Amino acid sequence: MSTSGAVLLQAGESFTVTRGKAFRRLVRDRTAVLGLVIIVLVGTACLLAPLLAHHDPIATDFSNRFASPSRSHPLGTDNVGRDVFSRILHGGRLSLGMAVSATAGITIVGLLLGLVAGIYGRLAETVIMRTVDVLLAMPTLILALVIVGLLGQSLRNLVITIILVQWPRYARLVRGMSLRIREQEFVEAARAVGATRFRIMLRHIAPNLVGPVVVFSTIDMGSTLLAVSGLSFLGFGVGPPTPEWGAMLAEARGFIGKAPQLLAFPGLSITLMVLAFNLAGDGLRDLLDPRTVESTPGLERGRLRRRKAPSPAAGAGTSQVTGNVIS
Amino acid sequence: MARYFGRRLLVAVPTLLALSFLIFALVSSAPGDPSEELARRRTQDPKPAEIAEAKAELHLDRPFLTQYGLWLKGALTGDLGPSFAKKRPVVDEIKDRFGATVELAFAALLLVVVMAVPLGVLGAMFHRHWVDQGLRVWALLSASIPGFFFGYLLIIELATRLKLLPVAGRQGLPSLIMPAIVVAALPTAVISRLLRASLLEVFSDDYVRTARSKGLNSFQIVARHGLRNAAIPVVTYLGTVFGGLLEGVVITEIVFAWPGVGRLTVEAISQRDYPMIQAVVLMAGTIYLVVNLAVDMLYGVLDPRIRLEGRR
Repeated sequence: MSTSGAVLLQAGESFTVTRGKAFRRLVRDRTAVLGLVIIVLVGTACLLAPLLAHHDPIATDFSNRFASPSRSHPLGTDNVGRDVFSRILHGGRLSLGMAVSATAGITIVGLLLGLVAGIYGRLAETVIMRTVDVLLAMPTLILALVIVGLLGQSLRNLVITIILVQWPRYARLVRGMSLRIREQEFVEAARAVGATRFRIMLRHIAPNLVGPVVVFSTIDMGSTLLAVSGLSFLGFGVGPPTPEWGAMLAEARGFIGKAPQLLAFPGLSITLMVLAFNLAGDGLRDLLDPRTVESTPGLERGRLRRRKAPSPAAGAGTSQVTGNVIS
Repeated sequence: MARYFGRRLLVAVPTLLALSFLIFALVSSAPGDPSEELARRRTQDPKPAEIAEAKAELHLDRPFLTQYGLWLKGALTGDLGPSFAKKRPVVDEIKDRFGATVELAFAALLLVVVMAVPLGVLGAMFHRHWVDQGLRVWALLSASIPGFFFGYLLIIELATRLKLLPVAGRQGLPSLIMPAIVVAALPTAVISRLLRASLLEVFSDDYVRTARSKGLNSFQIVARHGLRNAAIPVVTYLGTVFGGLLEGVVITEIVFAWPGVGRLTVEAISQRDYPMIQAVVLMAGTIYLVVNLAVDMLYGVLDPRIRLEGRR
């Protein structure tokens, strides 16, 4: 708990990459590009769902249940004859939409409260940071279950829940970083010419935080999608017949022997997107920790290199810095 | 050392208190009147006297803070009220379910240790070799696949198609295998990659070069110098991993109809069984806090720099 805060803070400090350089480095990282391409392709397909899928995602057709994939139904039909392809695309709008809005919410709430705690100090800091401590002392999913259970089943409540349980990590990160920035000379200069605290926060500290925080929330997109679809799978998201990946998977449980593909399609969709977010996130994390890529440009991942003896730990430190460790 | 432990404990107690208050307040703020709910579950059409009786039993006729005090006192003495849905004390139900979850968690933990350490060492020793790349792909997949999908994939393959294992439920060792694999998947991936990264860092240290130059082979270096030093960063993440384990247990218990506390939690929430929700969440929070405390202390034991911090 306390340790991961320090770890994030450390990562935030090393975020000093210039934009052009960072972009070039990201493009050179082929697995990250693969992740980005998947995100863009699937995201666009889901956005264009009404154009790409010819069938109504909730129109039933009892004469055509459990149909195999065909020209008219590329992924077949489900237990009440609904077109699975159309349901996957429309479901993606909800699943990905929820993940994106939850991420945006977490970022904004975490940024605001973290800034207030970091700048105003005293009472605001005590209240906010002690709340953060208590919330972080709970396993997130269990806390989320309780909150969403009390709020009641709906898409909006699901998103609110995810924001409520996830903002503390961001607030802690932002507060730590703003404490560092507050000590820097340009802030001192602003204070010397008579800028108010509010102005310093808004004009001098916030702009320096937005970059790293957005990067962190992007890295977290995969786990946010997992959380959203998990809660939805448990029945706290949409009700039938609305298509949503987690809910579709839950619905398909009943036909596991007869039509396992109904379970596979939404499952694969979630896995693919989480994988894509993780790949892209890995690339972004490397931007935060330049040690990895600079020592071996473009070769850290993806390409096979036959070399048994470990070099002086080129990529060793990366994963420890930012908390997410699959690299 | 004692000072370090003392300081950690001092922080943990108020956190636990605040946590219990948060849980109590959260569940108490739920809409509807629980005493009417409880009375209605006992008799079809409760009379006002019966509702009043339920109200007194749930202490809802007292002021809010007294309610909290009574609940906390009950929690310390092992009485967390009557369950709405189960028609018996909450504590009895949890006792019955606890064993199943502990069994699953330990089986998973065992799998994690048995798998993660060798895989982490392998990844480090074959750094950038195809073995390491393969392990990276495997770890990424393990981190990306949702437990509820992975679980059903196993059921489809191993239970429905090959008929090797029972589909669900808790009947002896065979039924434990699939749930344990699902719970262990993510922590194994995380720890093995962490251990790999940590080992690589250790490998570049001077004392490893010394060990190599005095003629130790790779295996001896890993066993004598590598693992012990690489363990420190790994330990910091054990708390996080354990949190993941608790969460993995919830979903997995649902998928495999495993009669544990995780499933009980989801049931209690869907049935709006308020005393049960308060109890299981308090329990999860306490366990999580204690484990994190233990991890912090272990970290202090392993790394003197941590426990001496603040003495300067």
